[in-house]
Amino acid sequence: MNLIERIRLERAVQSYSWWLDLRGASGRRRRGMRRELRANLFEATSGTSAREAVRRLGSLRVMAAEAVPVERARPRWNSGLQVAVAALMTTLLVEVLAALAWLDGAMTAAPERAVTGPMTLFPGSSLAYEPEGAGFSLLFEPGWLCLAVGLVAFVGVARPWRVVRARTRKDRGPVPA
Amino acid sequence: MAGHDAQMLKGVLSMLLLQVLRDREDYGYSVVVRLQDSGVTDLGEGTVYPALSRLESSGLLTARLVPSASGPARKYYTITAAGLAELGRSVGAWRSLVDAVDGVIPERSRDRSR
Repeated sequence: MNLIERIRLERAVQSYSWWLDLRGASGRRRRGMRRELRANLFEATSGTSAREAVRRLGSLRVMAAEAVPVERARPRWNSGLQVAVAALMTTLLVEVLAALAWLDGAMTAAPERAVTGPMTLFPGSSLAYEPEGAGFSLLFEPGWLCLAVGLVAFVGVARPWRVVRARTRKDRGPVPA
Repeated sequence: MAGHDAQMLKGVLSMLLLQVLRDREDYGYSVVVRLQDSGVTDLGEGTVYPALSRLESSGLLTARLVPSASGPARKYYTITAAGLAELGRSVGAWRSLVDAVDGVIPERSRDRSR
């Protein structure tokens, strides 16, 4: 099996794990199911291509839903962390682009003294441009928005309140039939 | 051969898997191949693997990892005593259903559908 095929199989395995995490499967269970799927896909590719082996699995989201049919109320730390990092990086990238646009405006205006100001729509951010001889200096503070977006994304996806709910249920004991 | 009804197959999937694993312990991909070799060609990997996990979770199967010379360790499933009891119950229910359906469908239309 060549590297491309291995990558293709691993991508399917990780995608399956992602959906299992969203279904509430525990880390230990996900590890076991990843290992099993990897072994089965490896076996399947001995008779066909990796692409065909992955295609025959069908929707990995549906597969995960069928493997873990009852959603367990546990937090989804891994998915929360991944989405939070993606959201934080995206917000930061947008801020950098906005800062570059602001810098472009400042340079076009060619001020003789330092110019400072916040970026619109990014509370807590600040930019300071100062001409220095033939060049300039720029101070960029992204503010708290990117952190807030990351935190909201983390809380929204990870659902940490499920820890409290699970503990409350545990304290109450089994529900009478 | 005409394709099987997917919903009907899903209804008997657990019974088929328990039956296949009653004969001998096996791992996911091999179970799929054995089912397909038996003529149940419409059951794919994406249906069988989660069903095996569910049966294991409900205690009808147990599993163990067996190292493989050709790749990662395989997860072999074995039917449990509860699985055997469930298999007996579901085979009985299936036979009873087939008899009842055969009693409703006239023999001539059964022959015509073959």
